Amino acid sequence: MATAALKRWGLAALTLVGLSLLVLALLFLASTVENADRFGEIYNWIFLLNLAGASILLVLIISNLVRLVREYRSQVPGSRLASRMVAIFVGLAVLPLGLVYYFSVQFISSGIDAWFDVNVEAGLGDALDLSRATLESRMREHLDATRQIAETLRGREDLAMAAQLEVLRRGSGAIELTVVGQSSRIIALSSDRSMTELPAAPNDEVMLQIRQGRPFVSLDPVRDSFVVRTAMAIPSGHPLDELRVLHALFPVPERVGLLANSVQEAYAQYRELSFLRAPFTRSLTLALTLVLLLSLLMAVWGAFFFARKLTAPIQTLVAGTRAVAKGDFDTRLPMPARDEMGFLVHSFNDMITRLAGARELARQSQQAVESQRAYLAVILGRLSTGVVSLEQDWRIKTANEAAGAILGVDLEAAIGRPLAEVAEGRPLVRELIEVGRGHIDTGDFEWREQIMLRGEAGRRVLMCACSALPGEDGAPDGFVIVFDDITALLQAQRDAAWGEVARRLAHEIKNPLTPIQLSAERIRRRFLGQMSDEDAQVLERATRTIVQQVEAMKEMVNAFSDYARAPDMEIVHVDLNQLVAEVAELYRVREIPVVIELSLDPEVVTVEADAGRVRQILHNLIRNSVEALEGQDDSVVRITTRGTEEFELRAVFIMVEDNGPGIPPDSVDRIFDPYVTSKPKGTGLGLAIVKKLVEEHGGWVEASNQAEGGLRITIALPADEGARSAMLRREIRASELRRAHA
Amino acid sequence: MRRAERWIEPRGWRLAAAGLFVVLCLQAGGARAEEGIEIRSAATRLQGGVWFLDADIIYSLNETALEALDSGLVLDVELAIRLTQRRRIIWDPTFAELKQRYQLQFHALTERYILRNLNSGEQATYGSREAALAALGTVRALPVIDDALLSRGERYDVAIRAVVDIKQLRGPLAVITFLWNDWRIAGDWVQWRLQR
Repeated sequence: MATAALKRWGLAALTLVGLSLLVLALLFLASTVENADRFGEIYNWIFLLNLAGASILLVLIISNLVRLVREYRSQVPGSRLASRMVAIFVGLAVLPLGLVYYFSVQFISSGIDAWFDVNVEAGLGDALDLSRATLESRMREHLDATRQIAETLRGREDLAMAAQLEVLRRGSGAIELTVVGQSSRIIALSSDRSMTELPAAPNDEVMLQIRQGRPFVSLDPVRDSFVVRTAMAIPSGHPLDELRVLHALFPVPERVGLLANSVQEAYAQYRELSFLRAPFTRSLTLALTLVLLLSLLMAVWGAFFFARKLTAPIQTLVAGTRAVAKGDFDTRLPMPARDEMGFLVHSFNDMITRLAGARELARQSQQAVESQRAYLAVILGRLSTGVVSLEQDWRIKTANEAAGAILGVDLEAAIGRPLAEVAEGRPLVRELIEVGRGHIDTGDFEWREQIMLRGEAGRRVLMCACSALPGEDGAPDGFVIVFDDITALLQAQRDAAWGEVARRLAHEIKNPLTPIQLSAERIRRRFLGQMSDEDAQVLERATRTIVQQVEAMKEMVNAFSDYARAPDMEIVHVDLNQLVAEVAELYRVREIPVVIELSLDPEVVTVEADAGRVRQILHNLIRNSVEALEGQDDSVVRITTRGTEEFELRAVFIMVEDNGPGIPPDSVDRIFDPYVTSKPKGTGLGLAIVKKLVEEHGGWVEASNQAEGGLRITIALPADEGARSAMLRREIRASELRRAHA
Repeated sequence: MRRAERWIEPRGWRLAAAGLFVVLCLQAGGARAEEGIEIRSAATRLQGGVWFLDADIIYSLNETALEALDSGLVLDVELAIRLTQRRRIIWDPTFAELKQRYQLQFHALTERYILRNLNSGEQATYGSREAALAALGTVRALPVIDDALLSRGERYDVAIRAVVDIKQLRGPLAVITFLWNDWRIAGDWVQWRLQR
């Protein structure tokens, strides 16, 4: 990230520097137009700047091109559009630039060539020749005049020359006459100019020509005019005389001089331009090429720049869209500009904001639903009523804890599975499904029924209600089955009824029994002595039978009384194992041919219970087994104690098992009812009293046939007050405790 | 010339070498081997408390310069004289600098070469180019510096160099002068010690 930003800044700085250099170069160029002298000082800088600018542009273009190619190959969003735009921009820039360049070069070449005309050149040459011819005739005239003056001065003494020279100068119209001797010594001088400075002596060229015996004549340009310079040796009288040279300057008429000068200047300018034609053309072409190159590079770079500028928002949009697709609704795109792209980005941001709001609302709704669901789950979890919601195809949608406890299966773990699949090996569930299907298959979605299920642990009575979950098009989207285990309730009602019966029997029957017995005994005493032996025997037997049967009835009524009686519980700490051992020892006598085995859990130390009631429970259970085993060889009664601390409560299990015939399966759920017995002996109240005493402790008892034969009676008793309270409040269900015990 | 030595002018534009290379490649033709400016002799002499310079310089103009001269363009000639104070450790500072400027031009009407001394204003004409160049190259008794201006005990070096430029063009034409470097002929510096 940091590297990318650094790169971007670097490129921007490079661009800025390049453009600044180019602008600087242009400013320099502009300044040279105003002041050409400065060009010499800065032209190197101009070239350097142009070169640097072009190099920077080239680097930028190459880097942009490489980047674009890389993005194109990687199929980066926007790269194809950028490529097309760059190609179009470059094409649009190169074509007109090329055309302008071609025609400019043509115009420069042909335009400059058009300045030079053969006729003009020839005319200027002719004019120059004409001027020269005119001036040459004057030069010849002045040379002749010089020659005459020289002849006039022949043989003159130096001193006499000065005075004569003035006369001769005036006569010849010369500006200046000078006689020069050896070593440029001025012998005589006549001039109409001021004498502030000495006249220039004839130079080497003049002297050389004169020594060669040829007179010298030349036309010298002086400012805007000309002078004719002549020089000639003054003839001497003797060969050994000193060489004296007459040097004369003659004026050229002003008009002639001006015209000749004008011709000269025109000719010189033409020749100058003619000479400059080729380099000037080359220079302009070169400058044009440089400008074209820079323009082209700037256009190409501009193409990259603007293509990237235009595609950048698109790339940003694509990135934003991808982020949103991944669920990132916090993405906000930077606004590029107040144009159409800016509007698009603004709309995108607005859309994301709305989406984020909608998602937040959905999240809050979901949270509320979850909260409601959790709340409902808590309520359902604390309900003692089983609640199961099912899909249309009888798959378990939800189930509370109580439902699993009642049906004896972990329904919460089976959520999502068909109920029928859960029902395998679970007769309770299977029967429930059969009952439910019986209604639903006939279109009865709203029903309520008390159903009786027969499970391994006996008969279970459920109060069951079903409601259809509303779905689309009025069709049910599933079902909710609510059921409650009312087995215990019914049992309690039954127990209460039996208790009432017992109480009434005890009250209503016991009272007349004593008068009956007393009356029978009085009859025997009064009439026994008065009867014959035969009658006395009959009376004796009859009264004895009455007394015996009354005694039997009293015994039965006392038993009923015991059943109905509910004295206060005396809860004490009872050593259960010791109590079991004591009670069991009472039955280890010769008269009782039963082997009693004990399997006592040493962890079971004490339980808080009514010692008398527990002792009676044990007596009743052992007696029940012993009576059941009567007449059977190898009779064994096994008493087992087990402690548990499941569900954070202490409880003990007491199991009494025998290897007797067991009980018929249809009597399993009624074995604890009064007067339900399969034995020839007994009142039929033993197990009913056991159940009553156990339930007074808050525990539960159940009977089942063992797989290997024999009856097993299991008792669960709370070991302390907390457990007793919890079990009495049915916070811990018997089925749960049973599973823990299993 | 006493203890004359040559060195190449230190150019400040080495960085522009790459750019100028392009321009150099575009030159119409290469310089001839014998072309250039050669200082045959140079000497300073003290006369009347003034140091004078005598020098003989051979100006061998290249084809472009000759063509320009014959086409009527002005050749600007500059004779630079530099007096430096010799130091042991740091660079030698320029003590005094004198530039003698001339102009040489062919006058088509008179068919004579005009040589102007821009410093003195003197003008002379010559019938041939060789004569004019010879006159240009003959430097006699050119006053350089007053001896009283020089410090006693210090050592001074004198260096001279001649440069010929084809006419300084104005405006857009000035580009030509700098694009085509055969428009400028520069001699090497010749340096010698000022013997006092």
